[in-house]
Amino acid sequence: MQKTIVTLLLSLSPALAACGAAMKQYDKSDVEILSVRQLPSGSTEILYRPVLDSLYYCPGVRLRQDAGRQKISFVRCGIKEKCEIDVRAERVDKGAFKLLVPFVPENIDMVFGDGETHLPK
Amino acid sequence: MRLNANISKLFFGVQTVGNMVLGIHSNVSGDSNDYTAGHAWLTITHDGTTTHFGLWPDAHPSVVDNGEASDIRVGMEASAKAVASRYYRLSDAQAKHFNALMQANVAWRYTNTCASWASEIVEVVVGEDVDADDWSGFETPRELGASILELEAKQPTSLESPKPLKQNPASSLMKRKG
Repeated sequence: MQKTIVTLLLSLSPALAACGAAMKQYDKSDVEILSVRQLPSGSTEILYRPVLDSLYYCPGVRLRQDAGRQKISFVRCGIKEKCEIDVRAERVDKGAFKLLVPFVPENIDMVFGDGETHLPK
Repeated sequence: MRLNANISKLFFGVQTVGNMVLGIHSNVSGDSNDYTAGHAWLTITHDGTTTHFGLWPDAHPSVVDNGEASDIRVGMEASAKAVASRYYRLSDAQAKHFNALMQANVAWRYTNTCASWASEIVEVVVGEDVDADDWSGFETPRELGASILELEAKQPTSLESPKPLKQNPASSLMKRKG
C-alpha cells in the first residue's frame, strides 16, 4: 500500500522524485575540520569530513572575497547533479577530503547555512 | 571491499557467530533536518570489531557503480558519527539470519532508501519496529533517527548493554530478496 502511494506521488510530482537534486549548504555541525596546514607556498591544506549523506556529496568549495577576508563555502551537491565549485576536493579516505586553497589560514572564513566561523588553527 | 568476502570472513571464519550485537544508526534526527539529509546504517559488533553496512545508490560519487549487484556497501560509515543509535544482542540464529540478509541483492530506490532498509532489517531480525516513515510515505534518516531516540528514551541501550535477546520472529528471508 505504501509503495503504491509513493509511486503515485512520484508520478504526480517530478520535483519530489528528484529530491536531492539541488545544491544545498552545510551547517557548521555538518563539517568536521580534521586538520589545517599552511604550506610553504602560502596556500592552506584543509582536511575535512562532511556529514555522510546518501543523497548528497561534497565536490569542493566556492570562494569569494569580502572585506579582505577569504570566504569558503563547502558545496553540498545532489548526487545526480554537477555543482559549480572553485576548488575541487580530493577524497583521501572514506568520508575525508583534502582541499588546497590559495590563501593563508588566518585570512579564511568558512561560510555555512547557519553562519560563519574562522578556520581553526 | 567485496561484500561477500567480508561477510564470509565475519560469519564463517574461525570465529563463531555468538555474542554479536546489531546496531542501527542515523546521523540526523527530527524535522529540524532537511527531508533528504543524512544517512542511516547498520553495524555488527563481534569481539570488539565493528562492521558497518549501508544501502547506497549507485549514483553516489563515493561508491563504485556496480550495476545490478547489491547496493549494500560495507565500511562506508566507519568514520561517521551517529546522533541516534540502538543496539540489540543477537542469538546465533539471528546472526545467521542477518548474514543471509546482507548477502541478498538489494537495490537502493526512493522507495527503498538506506532508512527503509535499515528499519526493515531490524524488524525482520529482532522484531522491533524502528519507524522510518516520514511524510508522503518516504522513509528518511531523520525520521529513523527520531524513532531511535524515542525508543532509547523508553529503554536505553548501548554497545556494552544492548537490548537482550528476543525470540527470532517468524519471517521469511525471501521477502527481502529481489
